[in-house]
Amino acid sequence: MTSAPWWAALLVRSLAPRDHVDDVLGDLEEAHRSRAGRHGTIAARALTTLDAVDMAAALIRSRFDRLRTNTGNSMIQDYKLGLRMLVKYPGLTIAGGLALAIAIGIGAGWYDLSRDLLHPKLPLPNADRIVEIEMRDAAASGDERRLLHDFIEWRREIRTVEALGAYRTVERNLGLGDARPEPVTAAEITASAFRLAAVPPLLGRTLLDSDEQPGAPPVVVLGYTVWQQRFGGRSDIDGQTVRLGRTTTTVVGVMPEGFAFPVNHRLWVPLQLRASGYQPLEGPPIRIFGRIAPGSTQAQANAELVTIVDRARAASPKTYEHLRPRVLAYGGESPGDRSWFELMLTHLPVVLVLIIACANVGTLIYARTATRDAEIAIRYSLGASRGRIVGQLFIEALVLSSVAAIAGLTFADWALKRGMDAYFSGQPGGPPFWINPGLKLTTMLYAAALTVIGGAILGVLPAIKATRSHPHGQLRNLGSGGSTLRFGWIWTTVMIGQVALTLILLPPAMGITQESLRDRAIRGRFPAGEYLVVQIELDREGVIDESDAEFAARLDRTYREFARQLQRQPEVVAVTFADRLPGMGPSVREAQVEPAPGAEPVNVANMWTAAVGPQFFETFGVPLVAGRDFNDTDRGTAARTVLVNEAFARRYMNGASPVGRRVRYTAANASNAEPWFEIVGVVRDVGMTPTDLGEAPYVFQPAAPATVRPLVMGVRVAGGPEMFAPRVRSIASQLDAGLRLDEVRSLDDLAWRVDLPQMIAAAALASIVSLGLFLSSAGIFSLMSVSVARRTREIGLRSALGASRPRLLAGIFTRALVLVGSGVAAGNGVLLLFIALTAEVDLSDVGGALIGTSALMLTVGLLGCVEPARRALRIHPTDALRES
Amino acid sequence: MRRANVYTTLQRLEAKRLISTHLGDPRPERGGKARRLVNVRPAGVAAVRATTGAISAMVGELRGVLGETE
Repeated sequence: MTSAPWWAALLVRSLAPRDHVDDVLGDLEEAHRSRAGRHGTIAARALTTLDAVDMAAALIRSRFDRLRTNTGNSMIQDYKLGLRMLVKYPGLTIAGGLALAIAIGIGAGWYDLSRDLLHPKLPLPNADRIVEIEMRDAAASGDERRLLHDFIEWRREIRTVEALGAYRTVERNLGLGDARPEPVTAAEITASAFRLAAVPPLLGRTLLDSDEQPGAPPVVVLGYTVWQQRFGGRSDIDGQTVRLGRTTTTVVGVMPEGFAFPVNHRLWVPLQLRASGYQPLEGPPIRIFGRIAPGSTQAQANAELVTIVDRARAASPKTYEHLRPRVLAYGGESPGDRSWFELMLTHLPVVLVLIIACANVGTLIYARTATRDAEIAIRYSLGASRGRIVGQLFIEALVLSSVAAIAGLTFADWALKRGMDAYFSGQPGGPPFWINPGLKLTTMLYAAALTVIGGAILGVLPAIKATRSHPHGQLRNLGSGGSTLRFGWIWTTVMIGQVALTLILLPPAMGITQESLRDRAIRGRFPAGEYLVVQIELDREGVIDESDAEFAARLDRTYREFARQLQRQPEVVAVTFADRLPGMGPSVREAQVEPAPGAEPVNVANMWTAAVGPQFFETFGVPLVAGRDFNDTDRGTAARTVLVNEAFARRYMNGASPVGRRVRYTAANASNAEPWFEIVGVVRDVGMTPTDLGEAPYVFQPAAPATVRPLVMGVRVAGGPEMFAPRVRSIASQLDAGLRLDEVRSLDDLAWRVDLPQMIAAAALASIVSLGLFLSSAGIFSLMSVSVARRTREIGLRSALGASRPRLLAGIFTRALVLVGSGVAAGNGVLLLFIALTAEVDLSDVGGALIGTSALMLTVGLLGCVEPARRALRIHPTDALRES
Repeated sequence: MRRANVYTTLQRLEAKRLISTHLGDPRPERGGKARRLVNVRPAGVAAVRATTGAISAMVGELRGVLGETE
């Protein structure tokens, strides 16, 4: 008996799966013997060889087949299908994509921001050992920063912290030669900062301990940007003298790009301490930093510091009674400040937004899945596994959420950069050096995780539900034009919740938008474009030696001379000053108003106040309507007079003249009430501070330049104020090198910046509500479409049996009404509960708004039914009967 | 029909748990090797029914198109 040739057997044996070797070889052998009997040995060998080659090819194909399936060839097809779905269903792509983009964008943005703010990573060696030391004042619930005395003590005694240093931030005018000096944020800092940061200078040297000694020659280390921008990157800058304020200082070094330790500083001068030392709580406020010594921990440093302060408390119990030191991680929160759980809680709202968005979009995707019932049923019954179909729908959803994630991340990146810029633009020096606006790799990974979670919720849940029923049942339904899918209670609850949430957000969105537009319109009537705002600071050099009274007198003299020189300019119409100009945001204090002589005072929680200089009202074109203006006597320290505006008279005097009445600010301690101020005049409303009840009621106090903080100058200019700004800077620099102009811009620009956050909030809320309305409508549309598709046969039969069109329509609209109505009822319930719990809102005031928003929601819901209803009416009875 | 195609098809059906296979007794005409025997599982029977049903439904629809009557 002849056997199959050995090469054929070897070929098949080498390729057959291990558990199939025996039977495949057996098949080969049996076929060979059969051939040998019929065709002879030689022919059989040839045929068996061909048979073995064919089998080998099939076995190789089957291996590749398995490999392809495992490595995701089918996944690529699913991705392509997902992309095609995006184009095929543009409504779902836009609505769902937008909702997901917002959710993922907010999630990623918040994650990035929270890492930057709460857990920053300092770009310095041994960053995790760098600490900040604070002294908490338990009585004042704030930090005590007048710590020069304690700093000197700690530097001598503490062992667990090395390179202990201190700094304070100062603004200085920096000038070289005849160039106009410009303000720069500088740090008066101990030389230990440079040892701690361990960043070598680009040119020259850093500060040395000897620079701190009293009487040492003044030196400065420049930051990279200052060196580049002010000195053109001159390589011979080392050893040059510059003017810093009114001091001639020698440049000893330049730091490399990006170095801004301790926070956002671009210039470093030594912190010189008095040789005679300081009394506790004497001297300017400082901040203290250091590095945990090798072998020590933050907790040990904290304990050592507490011991040192306990000793100080024993020596001066009164001074240290409420002071508690603590060692914190530099720039952020210390480990152990918050538990992991609390940190996770801060991400909860973000996850909630994502879940809401997913629920919304899930409704739409579920409806789409329902329309693809037939496709799924056929694939399922032709042998596709359930996992394969679920996987396909998951990848389709993943494509949508990925596209949305890209859009969301792009937006988040832009918003973070712009937001950080806007937030830090008002602060001298810009953002801290450890904050790097823009999305980081970890944020991208976080967003990727959110995207996958979103895709899973959107794709897998509807897919599991869609493939739950047996394929036979689905197949049976194919011919009938119906669907076996139903909107379960989860999706119905989601729809109701969505309608309720949109309804709840509608009133605040409408309110804030209306308010924002109203405020812009009212402020637009004031000629803010004619005014230049100039915020003034005077360097207080030799801070330790110049007394407060001396500084006040110098500031007064400098301001008067500056104002006099400005007034001599032909474009200048008038000059005044205040702590804030009209439209620059409020300063509110708790106060009491005496409505009539001897009457019980009325408490006012938020009294708007402004401290104003001479000619303030003339400069802003505000006429006096009763009483008198301030005179020089009013600006003396003993005088206690104020002016009020007409809004004040309307609000607190019932229209009677407030002249002669009194007002006082309420002290925190009732037994220590402040003395009364007499109202001596009433001025017309400026029209730059609109509130819900009209112009804000104002109390104006007389002020002198030295008593006003901040000192803001208002200059009325004929022609463009921006054109005049460079001349203002030039006059200031010629007058006094220590006179800094921190802000020179038009009042229009400033008022716009004050309005901007409210307008952004209004736009954001309006967008969210619009999206909510759109998603609600789209959700109702999907729901009704599925419902009509599922009931094609029923509607057709009812139509054949004589049901009228209105009756059919009523059936469809009733279901939508019940759904939207439930949402409206739930939303109104929450709003009414809120109104009941809040004393400030009266139901009669908002009743109209509630009815209006409810009507809007119902209209939107019913609009979603229009197309499904049209589809239902197009069903012809004969078609339905034929199908059945 | 090529034997290779039969192997591939049987493997796929087994992976989908529509059939099950086991080895029989060794047989002299196979050089002492066993045969692989195939059992159709209930899910396989149901799938065959469903598929033939679907095919019949489709053919039924086509009859209308082709102008045939049952």
